[in-house]
Formats: sequence, C-alpha cells, structure tokens
Amino acid sequence: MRASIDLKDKLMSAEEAVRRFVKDGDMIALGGFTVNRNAMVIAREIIRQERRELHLVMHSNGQAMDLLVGAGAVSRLELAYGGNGRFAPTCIRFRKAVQAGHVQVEDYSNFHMSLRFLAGALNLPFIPSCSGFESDVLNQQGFGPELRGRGRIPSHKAVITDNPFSPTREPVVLLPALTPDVALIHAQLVGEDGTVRIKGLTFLDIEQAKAASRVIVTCEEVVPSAFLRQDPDQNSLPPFLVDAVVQAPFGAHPTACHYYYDYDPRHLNMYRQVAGDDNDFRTYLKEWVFGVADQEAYLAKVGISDLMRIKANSSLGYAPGLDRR
Amino acid sequence: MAHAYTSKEMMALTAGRLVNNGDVLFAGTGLSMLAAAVAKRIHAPQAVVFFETGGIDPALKELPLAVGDPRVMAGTCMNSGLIDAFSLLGHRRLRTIAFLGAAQIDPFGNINSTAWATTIVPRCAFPAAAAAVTPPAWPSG
Repeated sequence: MRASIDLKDKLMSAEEAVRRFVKDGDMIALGGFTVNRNAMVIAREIIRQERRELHLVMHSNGQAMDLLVGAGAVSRLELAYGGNGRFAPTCIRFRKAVQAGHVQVEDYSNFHMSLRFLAGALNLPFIPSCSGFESDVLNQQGFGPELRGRGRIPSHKAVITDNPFSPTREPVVLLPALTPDVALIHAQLVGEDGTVRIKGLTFLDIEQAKAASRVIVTCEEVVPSAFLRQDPDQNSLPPFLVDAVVQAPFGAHPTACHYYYDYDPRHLNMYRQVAGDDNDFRTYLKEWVFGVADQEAYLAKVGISDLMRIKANSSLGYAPGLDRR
Repeated sequence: MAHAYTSKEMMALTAGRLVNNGDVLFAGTGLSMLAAAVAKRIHAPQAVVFFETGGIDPALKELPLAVGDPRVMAGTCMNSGLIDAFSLLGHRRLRTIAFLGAAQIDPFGNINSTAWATTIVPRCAFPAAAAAVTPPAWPSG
C-alpha cells in the first residue's frame, strides 16, 4: 500500500532506485517504443549493479532491451518487436542472443501485448481478443512446456475458445494479463507532488505503469506541482502510483524524448557497428556503462556538440534537418 | 544500363498508388511509411495516415525512420497510444488500409517477421511479429 504523494520520499539517484526496486529475476516492463523514450539511465544502472535472470516484457522496445540483453542481464523476453527502426531493424545483441539460445523468447503481436498490459492495469486475469487466428503466433510456442505455469509464466501462451455471449459461438483468443514487478518509464516532466506528464505519444507507458507492482520514472525535469495542475488534462500518471523518481536530463539518450531531443543517429550508428562484434560490444559496455558513474559523466562523454545537434525544435518536437543517415 | 529508380522506390510508388484520397491508412516501419508518404505527397493529400504508436495524421514533413520516431508525433490531429491506434485499426466504421513490412513473404501472401525456421529453434531471428499479425488477421467488416 502506497499513498505517499511527497516527492521527497521518492526523488532519488538511479543507483538508489535500482538498488531498492529492481531484484534479480524480476519481470520488468520497458516503456517507450523503439528509438523513443527508453529509460536508458535505469537500463545502464541495472547493468552496473549486475542484475541477472531478468524477464523483460514489452510491446516494442529497442535500445534499452538490446543493451540489457547484450550485457547478459536477461534470461527471457515476451515481446512483439525488438528493433531500432532503420538503425537496427532487428536489435543486434538481441538477435545474437536468440540465435545462440542465450535467451528464451515468446512472440506476440503488438496488439496482443497491449491488451495484456491493459488487462494487468485493470486487474483482469485475462482479456479476450479477435486477433491472430490465421497467424502462427498463436500456434508456435517460444517458451517450452518446462517453463509454462512456473513462476510468473502463464500456463498457456493464449487460449482459443468460443464467445459465450454469441449464439453462433465465434472463436475468441484469451490472452493472459501481464503484471510486471517493475515498470521503467521515461517522462518529460514530474511535478513536485510526483505527478507524471508524458509529452508526445504515450505509447503504452500508462498501462505498463498501472500494471506493475513498482514504478520507476526518470524525467527530464522536476517542476512545481502547480504548473502540472494548471493543465491536468495533459498529465499521464497520478503521484501515488510512482515509487521512484530519478531526475535525468537526456535520460532517454540515444533514444528520443519529444520536445527535448531527437534520437542520436551518430550514437545509434556507432552502436550498430560495435554491437555486431562481441569484443567491440564488451568495450562499449566498459566505456559507456561501467566507465561512467552517472548521467553527468555519460553526457560529458556524449559531448556538447552531439547533444546540441539533437536538441529538439520547440515547435516541432524533433530536430529538423538532422543528418539521420 | 542503370535504372533511373531503385526497386525500393518502385515498391513504394506501386503501394502508394493503391491509396485513394480520403482513405484511412495504417503504416508500419520502413517501406510501408515511405509508400504512405508517397501517396500523401503525390496524389492523395487528404489520405489520413496513422501509426500503431498512436500518432494520427502527422504532417510528415520529414520521413520517420521508425513508427516510434518523433516525426510521427508532429502536426498530428491527435497524439495517443497503442490502445487508441489499435481501436482505429479494428474500428467497425472504418475500412482501414494497412501497409506492412515483413522479413519474408510466400507465394500465398503469408508474411513472416519472427524467425526463419521455428520460433523454438530460430536459425535467424527477425524483430518479431510487431503489428503485422493484427491487420491481416482482423475480421473484415
């Protein structure tokens, strides 16, 4: 039971947030979408603190997922898409880990995963859908029978049954709810009372946060509560659902954060190069994760010119004319 | 002799020409969104493009490189999220056209975006099903 709306109790460093709220073996929901609003500060800190055997759940995530998988923190994933758009249509460390059998993967569609988080957010045990009948997604199993029904893994991937409300008994697909241990969300603004405001597309972050037992929010800025309460229609999460708030400017870098910065093509292209080679990737982790103690050191390493290059136009929300090749 | 266009450009144009002015169009990452942009720029400026991430009718002044690109959030009629986007994709009042990308396609039009071989023993992992299952598998109407 948490009812605190005092940010003083929740405002903390990434180091403290991970130490207190992320455990080995946790089921972790990654917010954001491919190259947008990945909670990178927390992903890097999870790697620094050497959490293991994580079970990642997401609809579509890119950079945070790939880094966590590449660092060996992840045992299994349930997801619809693991890619970084043009920068890595399939995330590179993810692909290597799947092909080497280092992680187990269960594949759903984005609609399926969205419904599963929605069910978790509504405290429903499962949710019906009419999607996927003609697809092998419902026929093929990624998780073997030895995993099914164990721990947090539902006994079935999905169940096809008849619609009991219809005289013609059309088939429906029942999907198991997702109730992750932790949700990692990056937002633009958090108020001094802990209210969260996500600008641009919210993706599925609100449902993921509501479905989770613990919620870590990193944010670009902490602002006076009165500012967010002037326009409450724009707010995304109430304070009492948030356990930890980490102030982290450029906290989604190298992914984008609408109205603050674009994705960083130079970093993502460099990452694509190093991710393809095991030694180069180890060097990347050494330099960009273990070699930087905190976000300030990380941003110093990115450098002022790259940060200025991706700075968002305040009208458009992205960096127009950015060289994205 | 070199062609004046690439096969990707031809695919984008061919797909884009299937869009009528005023259509509601769902576009995935890559060639799909390029085809949508072709339609909007050339012959169907009133077509409404939306993305699974929740961006509805963006200005598309620059081509997004992913459906999570901030360019799908700019100049939209509204920004929402995945649940809202899928509610439009399956909406019974709309006949939505969907452009999907895939890693493989067979002669029957079945598409694969998960893995080569089986999902249990992948020989080559693709990025997984993403939104591709939903549009073709949705009941018509």
